[in-house]
This record gives sequence, C-alpha cells and structure tokens, in this order.
Amino acid sequence: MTSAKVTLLGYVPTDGIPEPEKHGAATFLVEHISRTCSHQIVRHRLASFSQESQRYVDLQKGGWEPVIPPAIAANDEARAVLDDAWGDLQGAYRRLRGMGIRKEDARFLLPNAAETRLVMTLHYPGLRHFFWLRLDKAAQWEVQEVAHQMLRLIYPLAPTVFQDIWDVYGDAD
Amino acid sequence: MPKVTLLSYTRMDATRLAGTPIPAGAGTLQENLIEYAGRICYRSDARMGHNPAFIDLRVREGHEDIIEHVRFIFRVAGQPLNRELLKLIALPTVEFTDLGDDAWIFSLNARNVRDFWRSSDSELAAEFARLSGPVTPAVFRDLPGVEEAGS
Repeated sequence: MTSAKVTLLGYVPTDGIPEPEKHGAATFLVEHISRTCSHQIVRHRLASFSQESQRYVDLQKGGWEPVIPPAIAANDEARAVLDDAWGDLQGAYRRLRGMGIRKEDARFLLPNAAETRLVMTLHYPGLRHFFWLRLDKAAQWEVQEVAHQMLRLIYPLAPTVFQDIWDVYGDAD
Repeated sequence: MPKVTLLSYTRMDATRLAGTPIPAGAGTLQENLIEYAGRICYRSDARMGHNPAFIDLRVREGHEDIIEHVRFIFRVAGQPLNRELLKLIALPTVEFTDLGDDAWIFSLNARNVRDFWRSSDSELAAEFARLSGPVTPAVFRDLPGVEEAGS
C-alpha cells in the first residue's frame, strides 16, 4: 500500500539573520498522496506549488495507485468496494483514451483516491501556519502525516523557529 | 544609491539533506531545483538536464510557479521608504524587517525579483536582479544588465 512520503529538497539558511521566523523558507517534495490531500495542501495560498498534471500525464504512464484510507484498508468488505470501483474507473479511463479522448477529459473519471505528487515551497510564516493547522489531531489523517514528516525534516535545520511547535507535536508518533 | 547585499538563498546542502532525489540538471543547484519542480508537473524528471533551455521556455510561456521555489534574503542599506518599496512589499510572500536608519532585510522569491524588476526602474530592483543572476542564470538572463554566472 502506498503511503505519503516527504523529502526536503532545499531550504534558506537564516544563520545570523534578524527575524529568521519571517525570512527562512523550505522546499519539500510530497509523494504518494491522494488528490484529496493535495486539495487541502494547495489551499495554503502563501505557498508555491508545482503539481503533477493530469492534463499532461496519462493514468497508465503516471502509474498512479489509489490511496487507501486506513479505515477502509482494515475492513475487507469496504476494501473490496474501493478496489472494484478503482478497477472499473481505470478500465473506463483506458476505454476513453482508446477512443481518442484527450487526457484532460479522460481524467474526469479519476477519483479523489488517485495518487499525485507535488513540490511545495513555504516561507517560515506560511510553514508555521501550515503546522498549527495540519498537525492538529482534528486534521485529516493523510495531511497530518505529511505535516509530521515536514516538521521532522525542518526542525533540526531551524530549531529556534519551530521550537514551540516541536514542543507540542515533535514527540507524536 | 542603496547598498544591497545577498545574505542567503535556497540551498541544497548535501551534508545536511540526506537523500536528495534531485538528479543533475543543466545548471546550478538552484536551477536544478527549478527544473525538477517543472518536470514533476510533466513526469519527465527522468529527462533532467536533457534540455538546457527548459527553464527559459517555461518562463517564456508563463509557467512561472517553478521559479518561486528559489528564495533570496537581502540586506539593504540607504534605502528610504518610498513608492518603489511599496511596490516591492505588495508582492506576494515578500517579507521585510525594518532595521531603522533606512536599513532593511527583505526576503523574496525569484518570481518576485522578476516582477519587481518589471514594475520598478529603481536601482533597488536592478540590484536584486543583478545579485540573483549568478544563482539562477536561466531565470534572469533575458533581463538587461544581469551577468551570467562565472562570466
């Protein structure tokens, strides 16, 4: 089963710079997340995003797997329903493509479970806001996992900027 | 004339970032990050470095989100608060610290640098572009007065 994976691609060092909590920034690669999760991430308007395109990338070429929520994965009957639906939609997508329908139109059949990946850059004010919202226990499980991975990657590089957040969420899982 | 110093910018320090997945591209490390972000969109990251004009072409067609991934921090001295500064701080994700005595810290991304250069003929805009040029030459080489890296 696929699960979210976050990689730190770059960051802006703030050693010796006044107000580092304003001026620092970090760039992450987020892979193996659903379009449901990416919808929540891209609502953070202060960030910069480059996301894998369903207009340019074919379902087969992308090799996208469905992202399975844990509650469905743990329930055999529910899992079978999701697998059936995914198989049907995959087949229908392929049939549309076979009829010469363009990727940008065939993708109308892709469900929220469809896997995606994106590169995101957040300056530290935006990243701190992202953490307070998405690390909360009330946040959706998938975006919460993404936020935890991001915090574990950036905290060692800018401990003073993220100490208050680490104190609350750093020891979780 | 304001005195502008480039204090910091996006780094990919291999000793501190284990396992960076970015393969070598056609340019500087920062250009590779921009190219990689662009190729994520098209799932063409296996073609990293195959086209030296990749970034120029994306910028020309308006696919400018990819250059937002590189950010710069500048120190500016001798710059009074004026209309040009208002244009700068009105751009999205530009942050500043007022150090007093007409001195400032500004942080902004490569797209902001280009947009500020286009909207302002100030020395400040020209200095930002000149100092950013060597970090990501492909992003700025169409702007007059910006030197290529190492040239």
